[in-house]
Amino acid sequence: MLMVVFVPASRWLTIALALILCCQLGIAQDDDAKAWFQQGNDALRKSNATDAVRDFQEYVRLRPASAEGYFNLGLALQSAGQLDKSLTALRKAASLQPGLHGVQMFTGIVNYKLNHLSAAHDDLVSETRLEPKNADGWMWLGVVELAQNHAEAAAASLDKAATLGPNNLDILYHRARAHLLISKASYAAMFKIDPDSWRVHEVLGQADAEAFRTEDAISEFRRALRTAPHEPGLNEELGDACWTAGNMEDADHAYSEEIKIDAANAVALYKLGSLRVTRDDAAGGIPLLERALALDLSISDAHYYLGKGEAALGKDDLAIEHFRLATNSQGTEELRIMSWYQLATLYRNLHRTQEAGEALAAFRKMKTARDQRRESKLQDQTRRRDQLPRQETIPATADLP
Amino acid sequence: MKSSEFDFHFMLQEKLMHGASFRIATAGRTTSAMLSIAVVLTAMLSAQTPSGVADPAVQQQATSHAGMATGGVHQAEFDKEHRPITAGGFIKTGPVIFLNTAEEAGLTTWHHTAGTPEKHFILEANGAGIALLDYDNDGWLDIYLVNGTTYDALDGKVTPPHAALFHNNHDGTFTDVAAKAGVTNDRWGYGVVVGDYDNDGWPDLYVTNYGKNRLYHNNHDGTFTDVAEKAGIALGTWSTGATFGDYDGDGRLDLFVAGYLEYDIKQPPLSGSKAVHYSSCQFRGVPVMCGPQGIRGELDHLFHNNGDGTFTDVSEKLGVSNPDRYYGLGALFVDVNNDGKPDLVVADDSTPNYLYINKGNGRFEDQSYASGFALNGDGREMANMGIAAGDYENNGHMDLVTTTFSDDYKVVFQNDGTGNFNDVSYKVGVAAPTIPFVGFGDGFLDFDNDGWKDLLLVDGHTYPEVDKQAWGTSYAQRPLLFHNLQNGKFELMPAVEGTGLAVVTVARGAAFGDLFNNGKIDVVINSVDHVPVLLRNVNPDRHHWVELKLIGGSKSPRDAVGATVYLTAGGIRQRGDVLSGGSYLSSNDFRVHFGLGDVATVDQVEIHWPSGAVEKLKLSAVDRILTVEEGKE
Repeated sequence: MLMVVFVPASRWLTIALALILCCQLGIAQDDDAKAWFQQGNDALRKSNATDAVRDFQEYVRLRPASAEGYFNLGLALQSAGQLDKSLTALRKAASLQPGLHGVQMFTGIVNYKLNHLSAAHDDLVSETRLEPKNADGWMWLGVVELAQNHAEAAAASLDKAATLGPNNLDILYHRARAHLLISKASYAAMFKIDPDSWRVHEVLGQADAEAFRTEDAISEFRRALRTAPHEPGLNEELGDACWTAGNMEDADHAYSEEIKIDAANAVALYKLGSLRVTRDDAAGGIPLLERALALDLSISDAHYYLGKGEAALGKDDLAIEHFRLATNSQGTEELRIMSWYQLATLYRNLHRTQEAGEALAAFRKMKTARDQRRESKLQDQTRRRDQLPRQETIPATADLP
Repeated sequence: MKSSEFDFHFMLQEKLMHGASFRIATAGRTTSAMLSIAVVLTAMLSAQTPSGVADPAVQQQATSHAGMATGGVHQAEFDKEHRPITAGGFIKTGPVIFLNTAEEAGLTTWHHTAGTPEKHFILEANGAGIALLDYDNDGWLDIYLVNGTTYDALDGKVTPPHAALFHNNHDGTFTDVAAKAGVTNDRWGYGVVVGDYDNDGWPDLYVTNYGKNRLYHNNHDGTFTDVAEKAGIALGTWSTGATFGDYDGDGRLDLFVAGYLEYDIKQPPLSGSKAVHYSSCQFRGVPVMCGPQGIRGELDHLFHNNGDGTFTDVSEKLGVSNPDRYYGLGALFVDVNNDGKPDLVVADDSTPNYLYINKGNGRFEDQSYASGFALNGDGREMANMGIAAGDYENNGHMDLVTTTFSDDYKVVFQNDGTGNFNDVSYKVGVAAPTIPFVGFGDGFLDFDNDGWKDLLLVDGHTYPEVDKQAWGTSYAQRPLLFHNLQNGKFELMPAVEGTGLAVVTVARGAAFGDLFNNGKIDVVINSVDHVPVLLRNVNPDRHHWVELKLIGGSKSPRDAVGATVYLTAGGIRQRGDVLSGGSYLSSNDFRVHFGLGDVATVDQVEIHWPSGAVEKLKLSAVDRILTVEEGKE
């Protein structure tokens, strides 16, 4: 079962609710009861669960019909780790006022902590009906469903939570996990049905490629293609792996095959086109890149390779036009930086000194920013590493003559 | 892997833990779906096109920026015997251009040593340079080989390895006279450069070290005296490439010294230590020695020759001190814009190169980026090591070639005549064959005396670990000779078994010169932990040639460093320069060599002296070495 620590976000929620309930005590109370209630809230705020329990117990002794009192007592008992008593108090609060804001959610959380998953589930379903816009409610429901191994239900609940709380790290974490479990189950089912299917090999190839096990990826994609030689996408993936491994001929062949199968695959056209330009075959690459752009204008990186290609063919004006387009904000940062450099080179060779200077300045500015980010990242890594205990062995050294 | 034995679920789990993610293919399109925290981080670091697909070309480069590597991963190349192409690819029969005659010449009595064979630290891996000079003025080139040392030697526990000064015996053999000459150095040596800094007509040596450098003043009697401290140029950091040149035109050779790393031998950069980023201690994911990336670079130094045996450090004043702390290696004073003033180029490792244009009046202008020399044609830094300078197109423009790391091509920078450069490496046919090699020493030479400068690179990896991987590269590597096809392109000459081009060592410094006074340019190589290699030029051509030994007048450096010679013969106008430094931490024969092909007469020789004087001569004969003194025909 997935155990979840009562995270700080929930604690603050508790305090907030206690404060709200404090404000909801609009009816006149005698001074003693009021003081116990206030004291209990103060203790909760200071995370002093023991005192909070005592204070709220005194309060409900004086005010036995107060749903709010039992609710806060339940929260205090939960904080003190007295889960059974907490559950009792929360249920009392719910019986006194079934629609009390938050009571279902916290009852569900305590039940979850007591491993009463079925009861927890019922409580949290009630909560989400009562408070359909409460992201935390949906999150907790998802957490319980994960604990019950109901990954798909959990994914639905957590998707809902994420819609309501898109910046909540806890929600995002649990949601990712739920979807991961669904994926794993799906892949396991795939394997069970047909362990040698092309889909299985494709997935393994993708995993290998992402883990930079390029030769293994190539092998898996080739296996997939043996079974499904006309399946769109497989040759493209093979081409990617071959290129990463530096097997340019094979990459070229793979992309070409992909385009035969799927002539409208703009990405494959772009990749083959850029590969050919890189391999000094501008005449072969340019038409492919133009076709890619005609199909999908968003592949603005194609302009970089078109620029390279046109420059290689001596068509400097066209090259400049393409490099200019490649410097727009849609493209990959690396290619935008390189485009500025290509422009600087072209302008310099054309004796357009001012434009060369401007392009070079833009290149250097972007490059410096990128290098500084990289350096910063390395320094962060070093700082984190330095915080770890380690042992260094220094070889015998000597003074310089 | 048999599917029936294979637990798909656990395999996926394992792949996930190693940073896998899954792309879901739909009708030929691909999109990314993040399924684990590791994947999220991986994807954040990957290059993505707007369509959501990683650009393989950029992704290939994304694996770099570790250690010395700046390029992406390239395909492994093997020969028919499945040897990496860097230590294989030989043919049984073919043109015999060079033979390794180091043993017959007596050079193998000496051995380079640096640290341990395992190369745990970068200090041990960079190797050393070599100089060709006629130290005793007997008309024959001698050889100075720089040596490293060991930790025990530095500690005083063992006798340190010595540098060698091989005296040319004029009969094809050499004798080591370093001890007698007083030039053993006995420090952790790197580079050497020749220059007659005091204009007394005898070549002096400047040796760079990790630690204090040496200025060996030639005493004219076969011995030298170290006057570096007295001269104010001993430094005491990690110095690498050096070059003499008269930057201010006062007739005296000034000295530029490149700096490499701030390195504390007592606290060497270990992976995981404070001295270095941990990511700088791996190559293609394999742990290797750390650096240079992640380690702070050293400053460069320019010393003005005061004319009285002392020098003044003018680096900061003239803006050539390298405040960005790039990792300097090869350095060379060379006139790249034909204005008669020596400019300064520095090959920097894993960082942009420097090109300082000499504006006269003792001023330099940093034109590194504007000229196109800082980076390669893609706008990327490379691990530049050596510099070759030569006019390979016979158009009067000084072109440059820098050697770089493996998984990266070696760069041919074509000079447009104004000191601006274009990367034409692929266009001229040099790029592709050089990718698996780690290049160090390089130089232009007309090996077949046809009047067109060819190109030789010597190679050797820095990581012994590569021998355990199937990457298509090797620790010890063979040299590469590119023959000039006379149409702006080069072709790689085959490595015939048993010949010099099939010698496989961990090469570093290389110096070029006519060791046997026969008009053929030979090459001496200083290899890490190895005996020297002497590539004796035995090319069977019968082409004509001429060599000019220049002596400067009262307003030029006496050894004519900085002079440019234009020789016209057979309809071709060739250019040769007297240069001190270049290659990798080395120094070449000062005599300017010209191949003449089948032409037996020279139409004209035009010498641009460092003083600014221009002289035109007719040569009396070819196939000989002629001495020309400024102002005296």
